[in-house]
Amino acid sequence: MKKFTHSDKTITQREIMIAIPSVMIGVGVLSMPKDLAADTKAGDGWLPIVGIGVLILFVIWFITRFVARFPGQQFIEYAALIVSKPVAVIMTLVWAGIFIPLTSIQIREIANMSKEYLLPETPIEIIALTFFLVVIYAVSGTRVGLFRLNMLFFPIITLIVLVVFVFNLNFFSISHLQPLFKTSFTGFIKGAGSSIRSYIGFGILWFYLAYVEEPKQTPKLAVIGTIISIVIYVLLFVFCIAVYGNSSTANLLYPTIELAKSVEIPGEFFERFESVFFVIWIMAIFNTTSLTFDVSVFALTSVFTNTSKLKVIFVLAPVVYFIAMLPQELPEISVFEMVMSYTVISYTILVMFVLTVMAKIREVKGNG
Amino acid sequence: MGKRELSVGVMLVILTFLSACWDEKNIEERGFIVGEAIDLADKQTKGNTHLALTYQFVVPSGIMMSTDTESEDEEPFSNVTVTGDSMQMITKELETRISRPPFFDHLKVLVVSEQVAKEADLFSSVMDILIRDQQIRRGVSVMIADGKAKNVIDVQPSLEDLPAMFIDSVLKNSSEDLDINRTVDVGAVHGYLLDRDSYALPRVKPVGEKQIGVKGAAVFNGKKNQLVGMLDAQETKGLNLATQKHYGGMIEFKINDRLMVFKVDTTQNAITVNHQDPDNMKVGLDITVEGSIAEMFGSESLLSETYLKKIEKRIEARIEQLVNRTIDKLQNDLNADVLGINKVLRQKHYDLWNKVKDDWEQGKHYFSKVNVDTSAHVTIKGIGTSDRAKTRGD
Repeated sequence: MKKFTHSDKTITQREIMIAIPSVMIGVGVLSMPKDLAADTKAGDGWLPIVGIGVLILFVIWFITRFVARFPGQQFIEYAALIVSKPVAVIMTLVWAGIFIPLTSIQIREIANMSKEYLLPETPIEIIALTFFLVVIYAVSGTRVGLFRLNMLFFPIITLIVLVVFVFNLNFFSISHLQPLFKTSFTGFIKGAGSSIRSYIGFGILWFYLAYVEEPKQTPKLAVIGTIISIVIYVLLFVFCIAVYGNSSTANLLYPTIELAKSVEIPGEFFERFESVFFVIWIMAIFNTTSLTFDVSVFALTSVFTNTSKLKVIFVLAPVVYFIAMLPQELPEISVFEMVMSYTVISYTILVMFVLTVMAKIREVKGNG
Repeated sequence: MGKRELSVGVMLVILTFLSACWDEKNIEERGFIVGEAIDLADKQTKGNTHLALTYQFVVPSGIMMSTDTESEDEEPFSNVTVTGDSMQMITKELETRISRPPFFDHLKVLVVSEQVAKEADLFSSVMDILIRDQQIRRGVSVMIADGKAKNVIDVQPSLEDLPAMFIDSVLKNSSEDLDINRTVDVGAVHGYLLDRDSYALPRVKPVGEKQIGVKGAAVFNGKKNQLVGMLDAQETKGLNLATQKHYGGMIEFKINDRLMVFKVDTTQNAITVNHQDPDNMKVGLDITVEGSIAEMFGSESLLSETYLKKIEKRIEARIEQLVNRTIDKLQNDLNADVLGINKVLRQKHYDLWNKVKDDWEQGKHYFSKVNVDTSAHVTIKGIGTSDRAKTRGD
């Protein structure tokens, strides 16, 4: 079969704007209200979400501004300019090493949830494999196509979240959000730790900004993309608390899915709304997983320039799948997820510091 | 045959042999459960509590052929009772008794017998699976049966096909009625159990063979985790007046020794904490009621301003009397704060709540010591279409 190739090789700034919430909103969101509710009192959890969100916003703005100085250059190229070639190669390999398990954890979690809510008899391995095969297929195509897919899915995902909100307004009780600001300082710090895990994945910016048409415009749109995530998270959290109350939310494994389950569309002919919600949420997780998997492929191909992309994918796929199937029990998975989230965030910020400081010291200006 | 055709052929063969579905289950092979009743088993051995669960299955042929005269004796539902120690074991046991695997997604009502609810911690234990199981939604209504729970879902309603649906619609139709306790679902019970709050569930009992009656409330003490007592219809009315908003219903009272009925259109209420000393806490309960005169046995003119004012005063006194009786029973007899004073404290006076929360319904019993000052405000908005229906009433 002949491979279809697109004529244009660049992505627009708007696609970057959508890619940020696409990669952030994934499996973490389904359980995010639970951890936050456990850490904070009543409805106070929105504060850490906004606080961390604003911090992340500045980081994203900074990264996009920085990368805009090297238009059309890939991570390994501008990193080599700043910190020499061998260090740049190591940095890129670490990116791959981080994004591979990150892909695995997404696959594992979606498989677990599908088994719990949709397919109780189907083995987890099979659910994970089917999902992963679709991801592999998407990543094998052009990178630009992946972004177009994100653009296509994102409005649908936003719409279904809005539908869940509207139909839960019935059960919304403001008194659940009181008392305000009675959480202790340590509670807020813990909450900040929990909410940071919903903001991972924006490290993809280090790679994809090379494809952007007009790098100068990206910081602004990247910030808007982050704001979309923050708004969706805050609304989700507030709705979970207002509908279920703090203690119930803290004890539901996936409060967001329960929120979808409580939707009752009038007329009685359309029960079990959560199945629709779930199908669409799988699209959101597909967005996240395909982007993280593509970044690991991207990182490896930019180091091993002589190997074709398909070869890298076929070597990588079994590794990703194997890691996904490694953890056995629920606590193991959540520890794995937690460790990975903090690693990604710290490494993204570490790279930012190293590159900016070294660029200053060695006076690398870039050409943008 | 070219290479392309060969590969397509191989793909087709693989597709036909490998595609399958673990979770395939045809809708006609599922046993839809719409109602569940939990009783104590008749035979009890020492050590374990044996439960008797009655499941209500839908018999689709019974519904579809209701116009068919031949199948007139076929009932649209079938109740299966299974006994055992844990809910999960009972469900497993059930699978060996019936031909179709039970499917809980469409469960609507859960009826629990008084005996089960009265046993300490047993009610919360049987609720566990209903909260945990992913098939069961949090919107399932929970109620307490007067007598055996099985008898409630055994009624044979004449207008509805399924008793469970019948009970569900009776509860829904009479929600926001002053005589009936608010419908409580599994999700709400989960919240009460986690917060260890006291709560009240509606009470149902079969009336004859074809009807059910929803009257009064069963009060649970959150700390003791068991049913501690009942509120009768009048006391439930008092509770609803004190706690529910936008409720309607009838209030009977006497004026000039003649009966008069006030139809409540809407209710409002607010609790304010006036005196914050834990040992001497003063709480104000303001109840605002709007409605109209629905029925009178006397023959006075209702167009007189002074007379209407007098009636309003009488209704206010009657409401205060109803509410105070309920509060008295809750404070001194049942020792369960279903009035929601604890919620107001937690939400508006968090520091005070932290001081009293361990001794609220136990220990120093702060709840019982709270001095509740009830004041009602009644507005008569209408008197119907006619001033006097008769000139001499008796």
